[in-house]
Amino acid sequence: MKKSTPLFFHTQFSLFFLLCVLFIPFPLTIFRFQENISNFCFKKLCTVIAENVFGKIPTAGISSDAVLLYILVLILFLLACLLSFPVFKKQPDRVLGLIRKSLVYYLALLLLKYGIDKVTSSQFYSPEPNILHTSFGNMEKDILFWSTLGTSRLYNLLTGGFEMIAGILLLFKRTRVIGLLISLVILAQVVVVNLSFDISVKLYSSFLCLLAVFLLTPYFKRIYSFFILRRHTQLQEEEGTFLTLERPVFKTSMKIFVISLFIMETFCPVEPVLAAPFLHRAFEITEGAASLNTLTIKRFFIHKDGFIIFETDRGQMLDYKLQVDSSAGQLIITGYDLKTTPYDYRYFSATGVIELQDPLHKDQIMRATAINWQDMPALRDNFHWTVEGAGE
Amino acid sequence: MRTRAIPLLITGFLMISAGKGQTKLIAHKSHSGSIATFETALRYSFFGLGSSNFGAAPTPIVTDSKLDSVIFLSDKRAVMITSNYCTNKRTSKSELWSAGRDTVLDHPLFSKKHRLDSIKGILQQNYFFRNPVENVVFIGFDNKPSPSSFVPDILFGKKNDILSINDRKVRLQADVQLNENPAEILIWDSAEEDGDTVSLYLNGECLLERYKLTKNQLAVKVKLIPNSNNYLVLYAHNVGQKPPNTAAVLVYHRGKPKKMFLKADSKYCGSINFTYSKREKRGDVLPPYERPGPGTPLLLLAAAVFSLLSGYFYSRLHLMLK
Repeated sequence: MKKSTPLFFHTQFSLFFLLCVLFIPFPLTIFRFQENISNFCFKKLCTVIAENVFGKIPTAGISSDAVLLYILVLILFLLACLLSFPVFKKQPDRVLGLIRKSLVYYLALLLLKYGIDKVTSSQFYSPEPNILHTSFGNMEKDILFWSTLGTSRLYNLLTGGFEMIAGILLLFKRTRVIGLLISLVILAQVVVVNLSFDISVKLYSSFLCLLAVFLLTPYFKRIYSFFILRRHTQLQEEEGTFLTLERPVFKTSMKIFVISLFIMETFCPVEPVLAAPFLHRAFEITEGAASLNTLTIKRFFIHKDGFIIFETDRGQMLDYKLQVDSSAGQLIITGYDLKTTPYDYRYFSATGVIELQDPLHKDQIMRATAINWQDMPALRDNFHWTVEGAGE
Repeated sequence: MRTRAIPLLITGFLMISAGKGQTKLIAHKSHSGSIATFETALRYSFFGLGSSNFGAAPTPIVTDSKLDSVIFLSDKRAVMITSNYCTNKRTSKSELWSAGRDTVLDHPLFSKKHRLDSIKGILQQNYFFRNPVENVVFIGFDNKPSPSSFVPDILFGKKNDILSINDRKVRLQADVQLNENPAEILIWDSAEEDGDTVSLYLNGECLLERYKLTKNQLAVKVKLIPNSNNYLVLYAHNVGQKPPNTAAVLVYHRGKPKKMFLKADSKYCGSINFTYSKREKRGDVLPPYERPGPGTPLLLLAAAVFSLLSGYFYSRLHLMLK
């Protein structure tokens, strides 16, 4: 490859994407230490910049769409610009080839990961009872969109399946270009959704989409020539890297490595799967004084992540952290002011009735009955080919 | 390579990944958390936002408790001193976020003066504190038999079944397969409360001693031995006003309740055999426990070595075939 301005930019962007892959702490269970590395290298610097330059106090750490993540990406871009000079001076072709291949495998791994998360309903999960009882207009767009997608098993299977297919196609040289094209379409749609529904994965999804565009750049001319100019054209062979040119052993090893990473990631649970917590139900108050901070409560919900949500008669939802001490028969409720209140409870599972005793007024017992929230229309597995069928 | 990759990927496809994918903000909103409380939730790991990120299934964060000591005060009262930790499974760092000193009233395990060894056994089996039971300081408990303590003579069969207790024959009255371990068993007097007093044993370990059955359901958490018989035996200390002693037992199997009855009198004991053949799952939100996972760097190293070796042998084979 001749040394030229496009090659310099190519070097710069290759390094930028590589640095992003290395330092954006994506929560892969198998790379749990990545967050530590990023925090160790950049967190202090990012925090100083956030506080002094942008005047923002970062609270979310280096996480999705947090201030620190934007600053980290900016720093990585500047770092890539600096590093690109020495790399560009030496023969960068083969180094770039290796970076490029690593980026393709990274994209493949991510697509496989997001794909399997969708297929197993781990990404868009069935909405919790408190969400199902919140009125449509009271929900913000992101949680509304997230919950809506969680109601459709078929949608998750299909979109997850497409993502996995794209990921698999990226692993093989012959199918890489078509894999990149499919990935680009999928990721562009994800970016559009994230921007339109204010979902806080805007920066990372844009990064993945740009990565797909970047990996496609060597083929742009040929693709344009084939699809637009309708000329006979042939996709060029991928340039080798200094590892793979003479040693096919590395090529196979890298592929097996990515596949084993994916399998390990899928097999992890390094942790066991969390079962639904005890009392994971929705309850409607049937009798007794049901008030909380002078508000009248009509329902309450136990969330799978260990929260209790009270619904007031005005439709307001108030959430508290919940710990269930089943041996002492207590629901320990902690508010965001960190005040903890223990409620004695008795649960009759045969009838689904729960009794809660107000800690301040021991004689007042609130009785509530479990609601069959799993049978709500949003969770019904309805599908109709015909409109007539919908009424049946 | 291509043909080998496909079965591997299909295997991966069939596996179930852990946790629920979401961003921190969506995780917060999923339990109706408002924007006003989001910063507080971010600040304290107690609210469990740490593991949610980039819309992917997160690394779980486990809140686990440490039982420091138990002080016996009276037959009705005991003091439990606990510390709570929040362990980030990604960083493996434990962070102390609160500590508690609770006086427990009529606690089935600590309030009555049970034998210390029996308490330790039940703690180990049914409770999941992060520290080993040997490290718990017990004050006021000992191994002297209390006047009420009942020492059963249990005769086991060859397959971990129980043949008799104190020469009372054990009759198998139900056989149930469970898909959760630890499992929760609810027990109560389904008929009229007539003063039935019973003891309950699982695999010979005492779960309840001289317990008076009432209409109220008592939840007992049990840990089953996988791929083995787990005999839950009801021993009657009296027969109440209407013999025999009848206890209703309810367990959940695949989320559905399964109700059974256990009958016992002065001549025989009733039993239910629970079998559990799936891999373990974590159940109740409390008491939580921590299970060490395999070291990730070691796994990665193993995968890298495996990949290199496979690549090497594959290329050798390829050359040989050529």
